Amino acid sequence: MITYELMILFRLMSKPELVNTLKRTAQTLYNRGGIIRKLENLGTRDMPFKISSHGVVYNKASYYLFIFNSPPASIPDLLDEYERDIDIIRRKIFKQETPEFKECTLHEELQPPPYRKSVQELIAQARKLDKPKFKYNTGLDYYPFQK
Amino acid sequence: MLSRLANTKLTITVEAFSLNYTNLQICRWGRKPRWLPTAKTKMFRVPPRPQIPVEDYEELKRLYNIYRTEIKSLKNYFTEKYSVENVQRFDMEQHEKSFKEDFLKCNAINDEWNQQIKVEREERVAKELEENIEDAKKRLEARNERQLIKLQNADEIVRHEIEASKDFITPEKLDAAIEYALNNPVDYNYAIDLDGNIIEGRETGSRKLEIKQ
Repeated sequence: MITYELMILFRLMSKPELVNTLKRTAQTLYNRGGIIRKLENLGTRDMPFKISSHGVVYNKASYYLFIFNSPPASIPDLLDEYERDIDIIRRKIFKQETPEFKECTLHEELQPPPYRKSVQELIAQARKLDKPKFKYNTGLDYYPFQK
Repeated sequence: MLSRLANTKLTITVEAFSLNYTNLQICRWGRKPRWLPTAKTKMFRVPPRPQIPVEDYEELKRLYNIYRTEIKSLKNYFTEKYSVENVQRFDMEQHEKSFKEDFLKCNAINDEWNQQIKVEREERVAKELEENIEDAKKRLEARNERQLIKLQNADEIVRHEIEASKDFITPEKLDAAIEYALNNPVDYNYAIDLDGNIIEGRETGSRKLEIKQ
């Protein structure tokens, strides 16, 4: 069972219209054998760039997120159906990934570069490529090789 | 050395003149071609007799006597040994009998070895069987354990899903969910400043981040 995320951008609408569109979107999911786990409103705001959809140019959109389970075979159908909906500007379906736990290393990253472990490793790696150098404290008081 | 080479040249046989050049031995003559006669100045030269001191002569004579005696006795010994009259007649029966005896002896030794190896083999096979059974038991146990863990994980997932399914948005709950979503916009954006404050959302306030040291 794969959990998907449907990121969907609606055009700006009045509230009853928006409710209707959301219902329609959800109904499409139900019709394709989907189960909606969560519905989130990510706000209405300017888009990063203007988007032309169904012959109209939009600058603003209402962002909504559906988290749902659905048979993988139904995903192309869903995308196709949403593409034909004139109230929808953009839609994308992603696989939901469980967030990975990572140890916080902020205090280390805030140190000046020479104190960071990663930088020290890089320096050590670079030192390996240095040519061997003659040491003057080996008993000879002159340089024995050609300069 | 040269004279010896000359002798070999004299005893060359017809076989040596075959076309196989590896059989050819090149023999160079010394200072003089072979057909030249003795030089005129040396024609009547009489070489002096070798002068051997009496003591040396006696010693050499003694050694030669010993040598000749020994060689003669050896010669007689070998003549006696290999003369036709002294060779025994080949006895077929005797030969067969000794052959059989030898075979029986060898067979007995072989049987003994086989017996010994059989004991060792049985011991080894029994040991291996035991080890195999032990190994199979261990593997079965590990497999059961793996299966159990798998089952537990699956159970865990199912339990989790059943728990989560209470919050799923069914067609009946859809209206309420839409209403709730419209009224409660969510914003996942946040920033962290140098003091560890999390600033959540685009317009919302901030809270202190707990850094695990």
